[in-house]
Amino acid sequence: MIHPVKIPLSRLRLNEGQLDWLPRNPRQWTREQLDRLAESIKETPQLLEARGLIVYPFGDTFVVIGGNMRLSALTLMGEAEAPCYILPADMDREKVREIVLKDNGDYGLWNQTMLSRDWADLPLERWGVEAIEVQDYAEKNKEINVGAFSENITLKLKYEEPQASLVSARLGEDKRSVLLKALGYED
Amino acid sequence: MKTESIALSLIQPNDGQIPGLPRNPRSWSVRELARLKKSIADTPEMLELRPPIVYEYEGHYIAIGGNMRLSVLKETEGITSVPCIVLSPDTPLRKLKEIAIKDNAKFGDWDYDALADEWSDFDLRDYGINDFTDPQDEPQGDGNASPVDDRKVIEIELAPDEFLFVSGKFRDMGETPEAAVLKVLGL
Repeated sequence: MIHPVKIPLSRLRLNEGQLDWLPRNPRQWTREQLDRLAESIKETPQLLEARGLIVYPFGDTFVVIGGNMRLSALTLMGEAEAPCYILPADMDREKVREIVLKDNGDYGLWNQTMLSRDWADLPLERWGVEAIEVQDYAEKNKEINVGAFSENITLKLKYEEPQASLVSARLGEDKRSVLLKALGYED
Repeated sequence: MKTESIALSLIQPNDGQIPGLPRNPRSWSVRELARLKKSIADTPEMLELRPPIVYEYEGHYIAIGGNMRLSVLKETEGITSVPCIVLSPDTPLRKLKEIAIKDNAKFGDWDYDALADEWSDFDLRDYGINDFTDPQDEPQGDGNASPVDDRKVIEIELAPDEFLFVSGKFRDMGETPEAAVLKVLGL
């Protein structure tokens, strides 16, 4: 188990391509976004503690592999140190590159219905919660979206006319039963 | 807050068990679940660097951050425990809500030029970078943006097991959901 350690900001460096085998951090942000992040860190210091920066040794300093924007925000806030996970210097270089990408990757998506129903008391937009319509997303991925765990799932089918009317007519009132029966589902 | 190894059987998804904390507002597709599974298998180090964040409640641990990863792990053979960040028992409810949202929020953006220039040897979709487009692929010239989508949406609500059956059928048929439904309805 790895535990984060506190490192003074003066020893942390943004990844600007100093390591000849590692491209600069492929992220960008505006001053406004940075201000919002600083505000968020101030509001929820627990999350910074839980998600330490990921750093790689570079001389007597460390290059930030994950958390470049947060390092910028912490500097702006005048903080003295940050919790960091230190990667071993002999870590496979390809692994380090994977970590850069994966630390910013995103595998699921926001459930709009739940966000607007249950979480609307929070300033979501200010926190970088991007509202992507589930059906646009499903369309883009040529895939049906799955709600997590136990809730019912809405299958969304998109048709142009006249198919839309034909399918609607064929499915009738009880769309679910007709579809399941057509596919041979046995309860 | 501490990092410790916790038996998967003791961890529950955030289904709204804690009064005042709504369910995890995220969804994912079957395909994304498979991508994440591959990602975890390829870079298991990431789990140690970004452990699920849990909160102890009534003898169990509720996943505040990392619900999708936990659902992958629970279905991965041979994994019985996972490193977790255990939040302090006195963490206020409001902070739990903030962490649940912010752990998935993105304050900055991808630098798509940098991705295209320096990271294109990776299959970025495997890294949860879904909206990557090579700038050179973008339509040039006449400002003809994406066409208006005037398709009709047919919604069918299914229980989770019904959904699994239906999506499995579609996959077996090798068709998009729309095409598969037309076929089985004889249209």
